[in-house]
Amino acid sequence: MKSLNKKAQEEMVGFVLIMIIVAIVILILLGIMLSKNNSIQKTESSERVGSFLKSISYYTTNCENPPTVYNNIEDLIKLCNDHESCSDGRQACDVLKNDLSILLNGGFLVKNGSFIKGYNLMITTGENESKVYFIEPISKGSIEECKDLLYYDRYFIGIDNDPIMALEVCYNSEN
Amino acid sequence: MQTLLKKDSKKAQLKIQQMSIMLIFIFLFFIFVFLLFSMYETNKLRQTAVDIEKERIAGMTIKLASTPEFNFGKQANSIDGDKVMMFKSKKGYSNLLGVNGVIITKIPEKSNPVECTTSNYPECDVIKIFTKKDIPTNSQSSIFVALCRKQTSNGASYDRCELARMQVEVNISEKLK
Repeated sequence: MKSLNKKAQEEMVGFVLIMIIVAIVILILLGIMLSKNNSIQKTESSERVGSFLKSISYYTTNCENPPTVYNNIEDLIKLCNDHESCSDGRQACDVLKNDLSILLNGGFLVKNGSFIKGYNLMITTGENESKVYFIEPISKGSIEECKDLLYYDRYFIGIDNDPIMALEVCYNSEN
Repeated sequence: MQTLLKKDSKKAQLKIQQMSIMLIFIFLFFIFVFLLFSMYETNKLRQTAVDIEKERIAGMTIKLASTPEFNFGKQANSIDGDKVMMFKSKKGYSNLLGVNGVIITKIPEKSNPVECTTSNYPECDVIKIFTKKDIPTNSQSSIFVALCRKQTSNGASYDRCELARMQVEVNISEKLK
């Protein structure tokens, strides 16, 4: 009788142990799944990046060409493509790069712990081997090995060589 | 014979006890798993609801930017600053546009932005209409717009556009906050 009791107790203890182990495993798995889902900002739509590219095209710069005619970013891309300069002597490409850097810096805050890890803006023409950069790519932070990389590009069909302005923004999904 | 029967019935009782304890544990285990699963599903559902709400607000912001009441020169993503300023004194339009408030902040943002009034416009940083509140700048509902106005230089008129961030405030269900 005693040995039977002991056997039953052992079985019960074994069963409870298995239950506890299974429960712990389920809890760990659920914890991982829930923590991944909690990143609300992960769903940042590409509309913000797209709206940035559309809006900066209209941004009025202080580059006059001809005098008293203020050019916007789209006009500056055209002037840069034609290797022209502003009426005050500055190169259109330099003004373009400078103004785009200021706008990107203001639009996407990149610092330690911020929602945006980095960005990269390129204005190019042609594809693959024949790709030509209008200006040096403007980048800040890191977009290497980015899990949440948003890409948006815009074609300027009215300008010779059909330049493309492409923007990549890396969002920090762990934030 | 009787002692044998007694021994068998005790053994059977023990087996029944063992079985009932096991059934209770299995029942509790499945309840526990069901609870965890329903918690996970509820969380997922809430997340989807929040995402849909954000998409709705973002869509509303884009729609608002393209309405004739706000749009500048039929350009996509362009807001007419002069038109927007007109809404400052017309609070009744809030219902018509379906928003509680609109905030347009010029970029680059300043640490101490100056709110636009009829007396300081356009030399100001933030245009607030229908609202006095601040919407967090990292709000998901914000989009970039070109804030434009007609300006004159040496007697000639031209379009002056600046980059700005447009945010709208809409009624969000308390449960999603």
